[in-house]
Amino acid sequence: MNTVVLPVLVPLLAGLVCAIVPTRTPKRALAVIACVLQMVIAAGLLAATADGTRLGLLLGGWKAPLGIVLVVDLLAAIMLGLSALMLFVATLYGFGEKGNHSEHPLRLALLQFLCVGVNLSFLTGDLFNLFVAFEVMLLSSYALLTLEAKGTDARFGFDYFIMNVVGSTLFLCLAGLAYGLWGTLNFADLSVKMAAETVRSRVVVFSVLSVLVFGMKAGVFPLYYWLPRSYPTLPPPVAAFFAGMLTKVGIYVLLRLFCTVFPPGLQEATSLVGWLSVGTMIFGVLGALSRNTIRGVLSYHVISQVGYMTLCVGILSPAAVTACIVYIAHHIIVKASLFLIGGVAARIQGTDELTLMGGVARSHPLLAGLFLLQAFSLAGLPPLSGFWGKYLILVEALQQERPWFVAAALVAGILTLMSMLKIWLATFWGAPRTPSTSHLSTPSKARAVFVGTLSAAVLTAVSLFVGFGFPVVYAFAETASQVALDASGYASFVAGLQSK
Amino acid sequence: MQVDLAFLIGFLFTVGVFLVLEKHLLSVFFGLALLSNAANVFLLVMSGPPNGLRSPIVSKLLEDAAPEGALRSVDPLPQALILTAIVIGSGILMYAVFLVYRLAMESGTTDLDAIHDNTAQSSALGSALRSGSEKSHPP
Repeated sequence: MNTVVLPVLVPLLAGLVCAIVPTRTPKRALAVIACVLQMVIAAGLLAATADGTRLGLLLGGWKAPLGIVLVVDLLAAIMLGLSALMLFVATLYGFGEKGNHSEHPLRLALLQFLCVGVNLSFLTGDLFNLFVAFEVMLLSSYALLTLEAKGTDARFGFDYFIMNVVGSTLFLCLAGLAYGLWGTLNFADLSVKMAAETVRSRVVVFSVLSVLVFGMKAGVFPLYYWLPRSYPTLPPPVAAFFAGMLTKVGIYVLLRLFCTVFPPGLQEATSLVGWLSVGTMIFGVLGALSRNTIRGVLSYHVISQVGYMTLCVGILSPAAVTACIVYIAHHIIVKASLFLIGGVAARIQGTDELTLMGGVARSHPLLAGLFLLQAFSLAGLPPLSGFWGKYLILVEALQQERPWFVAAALVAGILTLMSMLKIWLATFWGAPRTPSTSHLSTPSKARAVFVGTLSAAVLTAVSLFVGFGFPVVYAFAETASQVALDASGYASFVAGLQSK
Repeated sequence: MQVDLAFLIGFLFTVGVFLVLEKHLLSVFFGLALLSNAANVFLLVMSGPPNGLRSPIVSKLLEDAAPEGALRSVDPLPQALILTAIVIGSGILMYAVFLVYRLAMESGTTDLDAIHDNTAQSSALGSALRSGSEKSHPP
C-alpha cells in the first residue's frame, strides 16, 4: 500500500475502533497505539521527502486533473509530523484522570477524526477534496466543542459553528469559481491555467476570495472573534490541539495556494494579506492583555501569532516562506505546551481565573520552569525557538523594505511579553491568593498533574530542540520553501504520476 | 448567460445572510440551510447553460431514442460536486438541529441575545439541565 494515504487511513480506522470500544482502558490503549503509529509514518514521510522529492498517489487510479491526487512534499510532511505529535500529546494529557474528571468517551475518537480532516488537508492536491477535508475537520471540531462544554458554555460553540458554516459556503463558491473560470479543480492544473490567464482580474478576484475564506479559518483580522469566544471553553488538551493545528491548516492552505498555485506578482492579494496581518498582530495581543483567564489570554495570543505567519505570506519571498515554516513549527509546539501548562495549573488551583490563582511556582517549580521557558520562547528570547522565527521574519521584512510591518511586529512582541508576564505574576509567582481546599493534593489529582506536566515537558523538550538545534530545522524549512515555491515542478510531477 | 439563475442565487444569499443575522435561534438555522443551498445553485450555474443539452445520464434507452448527436449532455462534474455538498450540508444541518435544541433547552429561550448574555429566565427544564451538568463536571 502506498504510504501517502496512511496519514488519513490510520486515524480514520483508529477513530472508528475507539468509538466502538466501550471501556476506557482499551480505548486509551488503542488511541496511544494509533498516535505512535502516526508519528512513525510521519517520520518516514519526512525522511523520504527531506531531499526535496515529492511523493504522490492517484486516488482510485484516475489520472489528474479529473482524478483526485494526494501529494506529499517536504512542507506537507513537516505539517503531518507536527499534527501527529500534537495528537499524541493531546491524547496523553487526559490519561491521569479518572472518574468524574476523565475525558468524555467520544473525545479520543473525535480527536482521531479531527486528525483525519487535518491530515487530508495537508495531503490533498485538489480544491474540492480540500473542501471535503475541511468539512471532516470542522464537523469533528463542532462535536468536540460542545461535547464537554460545562453548563451554558455551548453558546460559545454556536458562534464558532455559524462562522465556519458561512466560511464553508464561501469555500464552496470558491471551488465553483475555479471550475467555472478554468475548468479544473486540481492544484497543479490550476497553476498552469492561472499562469496562462490573460484576464488578470479573474485571478485577483479568486485570490482575494481565497484570502477571505482561509484567512477566516486561520483567524485573521477582522474575522477572528469566534476564536477567543470558543477556545476558552475547551478542555486543555483539546484546546491545545485546536490552537496548535486548526488555525495552521488555514495558514498552510494560504501558503500552498500563494506559493504553488497562484502566479507570482499578485500584489493586490499579498499586500492585502500583509496589512490584515498588521491588524491581526496588534488587535490579537491587545485582546490578550484584556483577558482574565489563562485560556482567554492564550486564545488571543493564537490570533496575534497567526498575524506573524500571514505576514510572511504577505511578503512572499523565498526567505519569507522559510520564516513562515519555521514559525509554524515553533508556534504549534509552544502554543500547545502553554495551553497544557495552563490546564495543569488550573487543575492544581481548581480555577482558571487569574484573579483567584497564585503561587503555583512554590508548590510546582518544574511546571513554573516549563511555563517560563515557553513564555520566553513565545516572546522571542534567544536562543529559544521563538527568537529564530521572529528574527527571520523581521530581517526579511526589512530587506523587502516594509518598515511598518517591522514596527507592528516589534510592538506586538513587546505586548506579548507583557501578557505572558500577566499570567506569570497572577498564576505562578507570589503567594496563593485564595486559601481553599482545592489546593490540597489528592492522589488522583497528583497523578493528573503528573501526566499533564509530563505531556507539557515532552512538548517543551521538542521546542528546546527547535531552538537550540536550529540549523537542522532551518535546513528543513529552507528545502521545504524551495519545493513549495517550485510551481512548475509540482505541475509536472502531478502530470507524470502513473496509476499503479 | 443564465440571468434567471443569477438572480435566484443573489436572492437566496440575501435571504440567507439576513436570517443568519436574526435574533431567533430557528431563523439562524434556516438561514444556514438557505446559504448552503445558495452555494449549491451557484455550483449548478458552473456547468453551463442547458441550451437543449441532455442531462448527464447514460442509458441505452435514451441512446436508442435519439441516436446521433444527442449524446451531448451538460457538464456532469459540477453536479457531482453539488451532490457531495448536499450530503455534507445535510450532516451539518443535523448537527445544527441538535445544537439549537440544546441551546434552547438549556437557557429556556430562543432569543440569541439572552442566550449570549446568559440572562434568560430559565425554564424548569433549563435549570435542571444546567445544575445537572454542573454536578458532573466540578471546576
